Amino acid sequence: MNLMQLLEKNQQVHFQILAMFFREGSEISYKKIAKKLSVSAPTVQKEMQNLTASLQAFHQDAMISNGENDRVHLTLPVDFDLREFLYQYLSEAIDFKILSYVFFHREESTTKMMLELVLSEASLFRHFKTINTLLAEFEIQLKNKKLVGDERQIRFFFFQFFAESFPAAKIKSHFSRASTDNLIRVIEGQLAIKLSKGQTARLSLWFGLMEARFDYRGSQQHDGSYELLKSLENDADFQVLRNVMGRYLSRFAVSWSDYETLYLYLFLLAEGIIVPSLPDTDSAHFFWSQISKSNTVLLQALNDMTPGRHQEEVLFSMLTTISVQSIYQQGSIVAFAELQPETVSNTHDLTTSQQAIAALAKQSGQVYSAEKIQHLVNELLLVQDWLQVKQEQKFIVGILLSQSQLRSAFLRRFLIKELAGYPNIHFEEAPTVVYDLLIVDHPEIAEGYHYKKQMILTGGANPFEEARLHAIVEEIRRNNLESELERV
Amino acid sequence: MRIVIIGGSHAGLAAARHLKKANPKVDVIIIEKSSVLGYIASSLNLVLEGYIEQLQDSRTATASELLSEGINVMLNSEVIAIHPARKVVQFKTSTASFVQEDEVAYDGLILAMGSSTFRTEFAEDVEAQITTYKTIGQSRHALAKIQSAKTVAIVGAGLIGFELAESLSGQHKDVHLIDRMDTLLFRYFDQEIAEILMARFPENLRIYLNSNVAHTKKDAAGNYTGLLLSNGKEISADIVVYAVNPRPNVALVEEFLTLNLDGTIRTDDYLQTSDPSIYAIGDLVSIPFNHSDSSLYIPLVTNAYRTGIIAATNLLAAVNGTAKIPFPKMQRTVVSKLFGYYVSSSGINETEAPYYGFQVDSVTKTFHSRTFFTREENFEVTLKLIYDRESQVIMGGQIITSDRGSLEIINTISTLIHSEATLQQLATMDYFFNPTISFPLHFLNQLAIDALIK
Repeated sequence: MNLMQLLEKNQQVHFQILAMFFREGSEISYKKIAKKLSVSAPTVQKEMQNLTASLQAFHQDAMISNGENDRVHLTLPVDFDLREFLYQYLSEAIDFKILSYVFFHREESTTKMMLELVLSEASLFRHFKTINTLLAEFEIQLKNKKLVGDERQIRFFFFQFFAESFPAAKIKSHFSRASTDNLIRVIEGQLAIKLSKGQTARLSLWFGLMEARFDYRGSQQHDGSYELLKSLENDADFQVLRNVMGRYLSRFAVSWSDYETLYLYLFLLAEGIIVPSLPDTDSAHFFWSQISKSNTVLLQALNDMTPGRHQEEVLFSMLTTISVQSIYQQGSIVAFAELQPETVSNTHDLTTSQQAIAALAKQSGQVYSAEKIQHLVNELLLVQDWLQVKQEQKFIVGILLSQSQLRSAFLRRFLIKELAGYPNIHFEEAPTVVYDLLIVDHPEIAEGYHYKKQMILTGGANPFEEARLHAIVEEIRRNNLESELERV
Repeated sequence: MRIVIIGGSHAGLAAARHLKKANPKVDVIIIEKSSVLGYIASSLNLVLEGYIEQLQDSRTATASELLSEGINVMLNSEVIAIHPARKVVQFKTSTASFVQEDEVAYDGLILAMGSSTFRTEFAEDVEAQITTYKTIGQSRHALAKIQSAKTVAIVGAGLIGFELAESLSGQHKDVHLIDRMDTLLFRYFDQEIAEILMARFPENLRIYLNSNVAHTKKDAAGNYTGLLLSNGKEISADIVVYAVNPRPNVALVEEFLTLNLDGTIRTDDYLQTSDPSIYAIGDLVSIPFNHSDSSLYIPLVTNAYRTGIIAATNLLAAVNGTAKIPFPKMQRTVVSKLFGYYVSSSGINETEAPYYGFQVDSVTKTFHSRTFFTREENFEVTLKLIYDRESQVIMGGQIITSDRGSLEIINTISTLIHSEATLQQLATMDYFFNPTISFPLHFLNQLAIDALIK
């Protein structure tokens, strides 16, 4: 599901226009917008005026102004909160209102819902039909105003729904409670972890959803998680969480089940909040054998290699995060301004990631929605990016020049300027360091220094020298990444 | 003025009697589904241990007693609908000879329908071997099965399960007590107190912690033979007793009253529901706990009585011209007799304190004598005091003792918690002294001093 699909048609046009600005830059022509959106120029002009009015109503300094010829220019001030702006639109969209109502008024009748949303019965059921099309990828459906399906999927859907659509302040006011804040601190203590502010907010939302979904009627479906629960019941982290949840939930009148712990456990794994210890991958453990198979596919995509017993813990955790989402969470909600895969990485990495996710889908026997594929591909690309940065963090360049002070200073500035575009390149002059690249103006000066590659300058500061420099740097980065992966 | 009370258990009876005492002119009607009033849920244990001969003796009131107090009682009458707009309760009375439907109007309505023990889905599979014993009907059913069983598995190691385990082990049955948590009686006791109790367990009682029932075992013919636990352990048991916390019976009112997320009825501080004419009491409501902002669902008889009295007082406030009383915070004070020891708890325990946002500390001490000059064989009392680390306000206490008399200390601790007394105050609090009865410093004085110099 793309969050934009919940908007009304004219609202969707506004966000399509914004998306074009984000993609193309701050200036764009009317003609191009009309062509991309397949609508007439007058329609674009009308919706552009409406969008301008909405932007200015939201923030007085936000504006769309006319430039030269038929070009328009978007200005968003630095304190413009796009998420809050989107929420304003969503909160006026009927489909969004229906889904919110279903959650916050679980026990109200359909008649009351019709009255409160000012909808006729026919109109309401028409909207139900549209929403059900969007919910299909989550394997849940709206029937008689209730969400029907496996509880694991309902929780996951609502988590994504609120996490992607509600502004942080709204999530806090609706879902955060002192009691669950205490619970989060207990979990931190019991699992010896420290959550970031963002992780705390997401976990707080999760617990808010849990309490809102208390099943005092015993009507929820958990069948889809039965085997999973049985395989995890004796897992050490799972048992810690079960005791924590037991102590917390004992204050309520609900008949809490271990499925509550299971859903929390999966959530913590999917969010990367808990880092599982590497289990015996040869064991017949249902859950870990599934995760292990999935991680193998992902690791092969990263460097065509199989995982060993000594995988790096953080990488294992990252891959597990993707695997849990891949195997145990059906569907995905794509937010507006989501990272586009092509901006995260290059074409080669994108293709291998897409192939890896396709292989995961095949392995699981599931049909992944386009949104889920996009999300998982992005996740895998981000892992690749993380690996690259990790490797680059060790990239050390040394510069040794023996020419006159002014000439040496000029060449040094030239080299530093050229290499500034690479992340985490460190310039050192200590003989004890092992340099990835030692740049010298003549080889004798390097005596006593340790390095992997040496580059002898031609003496010029010209395009030829620039190309030569970049070629050697790219080669070293590639070699470093490969050896890093081999080490892992 | 007519006040109708749905449910004739402890909360309903307490409310009815208080209504009549506070205003004899009020017309009070109790509508009770069963034929018994004020049935004590643990009566099964009382029969097994010989305190009473038969289950029906375990009632706290009879219809004739209540009638003599001016309270009308309709036994064997089940409420089938409440019409809040008309302020009418519709009910059906069933006896062996007739079934009759009728309705009664009310000015005020008190809901006291109580709670029911639930069972997990697999229970349906082997209905004949699985039982609970909250109502008298369930208890009769359970008693017959338990008496003929040699081996009994009890699911749930809370106070209810433990008391049954004690009764059954005393009957020389093999008892298996199963709980998914890592600590016995975790709601009330910390590990160190639970361990003292564990040392007293008889040989015919086996405990399985961190264990869940995976499914039932059956032989080749499909007959039930026992249980398989999630950790792979197998238990052979003739019957399985579910001793887990009950859930409130709210089906009658869920369409028109506001409920909390956990299915308890939402009330204000005065136990008034979202309909101003209706109050909810007993096992239907959660009540505020101790120093915390949280309400807890603690279906105890003591809370049933207290909520009944408060709701009755508040319902009559307008008529009697008195002020309404908010329900006070509870300390969750409990007591039990297990394996020859008395155990009791009040307030927060040390393990759960962080769940309420408290940083606490504790002091525990065992005393083997209570006077200078009198020797008592086997006298032992272990006291644990929990207090806020910073303010040193007393927040909880636990006792395990061989001495019935020492048990009363828990009520003192409950009062200390309620009044937010500090260690400094307790250290020098004025308690009696007589050389043949006590030490100059009471056990609590000594504990507080130990905590202060810790």
